[in-house]
Amino acid sequence: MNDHHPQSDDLLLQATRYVLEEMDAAERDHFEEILLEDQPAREAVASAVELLVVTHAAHKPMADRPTLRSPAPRHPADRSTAKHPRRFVWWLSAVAASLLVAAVAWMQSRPLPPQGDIAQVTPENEEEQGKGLAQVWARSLDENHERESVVRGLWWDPEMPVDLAEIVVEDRPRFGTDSLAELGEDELAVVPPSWMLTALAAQQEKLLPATDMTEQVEESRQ
Amino acid sequence: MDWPREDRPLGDQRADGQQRDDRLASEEVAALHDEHALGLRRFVLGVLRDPELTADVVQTTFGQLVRVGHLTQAESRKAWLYQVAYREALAAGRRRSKEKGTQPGQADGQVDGQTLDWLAAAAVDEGLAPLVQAERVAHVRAALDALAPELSEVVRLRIYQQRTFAQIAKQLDIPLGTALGRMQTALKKLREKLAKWDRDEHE
Repeated sequence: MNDHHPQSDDLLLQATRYVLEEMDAAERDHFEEILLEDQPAREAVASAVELLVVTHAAHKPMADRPTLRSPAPRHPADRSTAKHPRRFVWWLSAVAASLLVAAVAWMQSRPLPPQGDIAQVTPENEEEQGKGLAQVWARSLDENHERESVVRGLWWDPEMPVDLAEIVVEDRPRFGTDSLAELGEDELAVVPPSWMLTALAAQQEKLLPATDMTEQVEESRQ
Repeated sequence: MDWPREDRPLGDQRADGQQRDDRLASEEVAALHDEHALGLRRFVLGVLRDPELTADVVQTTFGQLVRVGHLTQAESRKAWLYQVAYREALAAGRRRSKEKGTQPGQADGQVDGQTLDWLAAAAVDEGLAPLVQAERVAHVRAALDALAPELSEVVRLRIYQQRTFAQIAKQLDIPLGTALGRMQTALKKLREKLAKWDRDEHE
C-alpha cells in the first residue's frame, strides 16, 4: 500500500467509484482521460482495488476462510468437499451407518425358512430349499460383514489413525488353507457348510446331470 | 503494438533508428516485475474487472518492457509501464465488448455494474503468500470492526451487500453526498491501517 497525501483522499474516492462502476458515462470518460496522463490517478485506482479486494475478503464468513489444515481449493468443483473435509467425512459416515441399519432391519424383517425345514429337504421342494439355504448362508455372511462395517462406520475418524486389526482381530489368511481343520471359528463362518453344498449339488445334478458335481463340491471345499 | 506515432509511449517514439541489442538485462526486468507487477495488476483490474484478462494485459506489458524498455528513462519507467498497461487494457476491453456485445467498461455477466464477484477471484491472484494475505485480511477486519458504526455500515452495504451509493443513501435516509463522505472516511482509515501494517511487516 502506497503512502498517500491528504489531498489524495478525494482521488481515492473517485477511483473507487470508477472501479465500482458508480460513474455515469460522462464522468467515466473524463476519468479515463485523466488516467491517460496522470500517474497518481492510476495508482489511486490500484489502491482502490487493493482496498476493495481485502475488504471484500474481510467480510467473508468464518467458515469460508482458508486455514492451515485445509487450504482453499482453486477449482470450484473441489470446493464443496475440500472446504469442509472433516464435516464431509462425518456426513458420509452418518449416511452409510443409516443405510446399513436400514438394510439390517429390512433383512431381519424378511421371512426366513424355519431351521427345521433345512434338514427335511424333499424332492418336491429341493430346488427352492437349495435357494433358501444359499440365501441363509449368504445372509449370515452379509450380517457378519455388516456388523464389521457398522463398527468401522461408527468408529472411523479420519483424524485418528485406526489399526483395523484391532477390530477384525485375526491376521491369519482367510482363504488358501489346506483343510477345514486348520480353520478357526471365524474362517469356518465364511466356508460353505456341508449341508448347503450337498443341497446345492443335488440341485445342480438335476439341472446338469452330465456334470460330476461331487468333484465340484470337493474342489469348492478346497 | 500498432499505435499512431504521436500516441506511442516515449519508448516507442525513440525506437526508430535505435539498436535492439542493448535491451534491459533480464535481472533488471525481473527487478521491475517484482517492484511493479502487483500494482499494475491491481490497476488493470480496476479498469477491466476481469482477473483473467488482467493477467494477459500485464504479461503483454512486461513483454513490451523487454522489447523497448531500454529506450525509456529509468526514472520514468514506472509511469511508462502504467501507461502501456492502460492502453493495453483499453484495447482489451474494447475487444471484449465487441466479442460479448457489451458496453465498454462493463464486465462479463454484469447487469448494471453491481456484481463484485471478480473481487473474490482477484484475492486469489494477489500473489501474496497465503499467510501474509490472511494476516492482511485479519488486520483489515479488525480495522473494519474499529470503524464507527455509520462508516462500517456504508462499507458493508456497498461492498458486501453490493448496493449502489444511491440505494444506500435512500436506505439510510441520508443525502448521497453523506454516503459518499462516509465511504471516503472509511477508505481513508482502512488505507492508513493497511499502510501501517505493511510498513511494520517490512521492518
